[in-house]
Amino acid sequence: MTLLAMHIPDGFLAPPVVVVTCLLSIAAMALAFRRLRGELGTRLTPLMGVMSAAIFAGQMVNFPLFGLQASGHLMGGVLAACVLGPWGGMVAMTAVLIVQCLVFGDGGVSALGANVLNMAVIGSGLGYVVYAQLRQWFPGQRGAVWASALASWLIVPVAALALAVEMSAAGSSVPFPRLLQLMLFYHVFIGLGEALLTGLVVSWLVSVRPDVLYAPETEAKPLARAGRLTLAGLTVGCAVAAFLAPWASEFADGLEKVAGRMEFLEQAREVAFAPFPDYGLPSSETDAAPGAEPWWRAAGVVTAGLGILGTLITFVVAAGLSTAVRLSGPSARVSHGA
Amino acid sequence: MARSAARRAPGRDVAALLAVLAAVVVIALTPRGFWPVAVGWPLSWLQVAGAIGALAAVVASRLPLRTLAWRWLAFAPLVTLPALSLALATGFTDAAWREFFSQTLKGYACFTWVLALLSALGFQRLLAALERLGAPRVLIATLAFMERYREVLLDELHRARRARQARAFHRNWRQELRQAGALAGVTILRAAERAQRVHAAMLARGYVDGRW
Repeated sequence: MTLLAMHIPDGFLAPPVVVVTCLLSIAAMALAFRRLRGELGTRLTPLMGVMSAAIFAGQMVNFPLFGLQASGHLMGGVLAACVLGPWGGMVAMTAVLIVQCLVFGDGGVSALGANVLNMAVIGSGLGYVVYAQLRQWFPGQRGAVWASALASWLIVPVAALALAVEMSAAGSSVPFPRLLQLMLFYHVFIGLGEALLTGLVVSWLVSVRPDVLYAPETEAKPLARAGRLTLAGLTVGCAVAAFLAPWASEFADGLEKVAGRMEFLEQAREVAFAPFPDYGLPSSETDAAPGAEPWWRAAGVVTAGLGILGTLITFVVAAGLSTAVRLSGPSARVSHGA
Repeated sequence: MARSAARRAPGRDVAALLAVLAAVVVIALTPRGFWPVAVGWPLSWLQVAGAIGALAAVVASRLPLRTLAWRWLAFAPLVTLPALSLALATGFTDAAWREFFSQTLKGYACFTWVLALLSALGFQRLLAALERLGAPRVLIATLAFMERYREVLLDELHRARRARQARAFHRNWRQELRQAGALAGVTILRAAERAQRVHAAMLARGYVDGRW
């Protein structure tokens, strides 16, 4: 929903990352086209083409967010999947990404594979998996709205993780923990905005033409009380981890400052087991250099970040395993009007 | 659309496409420390040469200067913000600023190459060249449709927005948010219906199994 979204420009990725992400994206796309051709037949090209244009136009709608002058717009991955299904959503997002890259320079040519992986395969395909699972648990039209909003919120940090891995992998000069912290920090907010916007659009669609949403004919399985509690716990846990991880490190910064002011650090240095003997005050240059990062701070960030990501990934994988079976069934159909 | 994209591209276009791809790959993927412009700089002379080549190419492609200036201006946040966030991650050291500068230059160089290619060929010929290089037909056709309907749908969106502005007074923030949702929703809904009509028209003109 924002300028700081995740289009990687040219020259940010190491060669091995470019190759691997390209191969992964091509494989995913090939699979998507094969599935779609079976599903849609000759309807495939006009539907994908026009809907890609619609997603593109939908990204141009400005939403007044949080009552501020600054406004956001949709990225639309989960929204595309809600309307077109997982494979269609992936293809539509890929087409959007290619046009953005070629015509507007939004995302680099050499980074196209990575961008497709983050925003189409993860953002749309995997987002749909989460959405489908949530929809089974929350049936009905209101359920669709909540499921789409929650799925867009959950999938944004996952895409941010992929982004952080890609940008810091294979001999990049960027330290992974710091980048992950930064990415998670602002993508949690981006995710909230995306969730709000997706929810708004889906709630309008549901109230006007519910048949436009992709509906594989699966049975609704309303969540039992225990399941609902689990889900609520998971959501709250993720929210807390995501919001507190950056604050926690800020807090650590604050502690250092206080400690420095109170000259605790001087004393600490004289303690026999001082864990970071060459530690300087936060303002000194050593603090900024990645090598001289105090280990506990990096470790804390990593723990917090990995905590939330572990939670999310476990959830996504579990949801994926249980929906994948149903998706491959013969009943999956697009229902675009009669 | 699908038919014009299927027309065989001349070898010249394919060569241009390959040349730009090669230039982008060189600029984006030259390994660090290969023939650096100065000690400690993550920028290679190869990349500088690529940037100069991009300028030459964009001049040769006769892209109007005004268009070029606007495109470059619009591109600025797209490359500087990611570069800045990397600098934020490493800390604002001298090395980080050198990294920032190099990355911005690389981004601009690659984008300028793409601008030159698009200005020289245009979107449809670019698609035809891509198809001759073996890109899947379905993807090419999808992109051709998308390019065809992008402006149409944006126009529709602008008209709807203007109609709303003309009629809706005294809106508060919540109403505005809901209406923006409706605007995006109606764009998608109309597109789905339009896709049906387009498909019916294609069938009426003898489109069978992916071919005319």
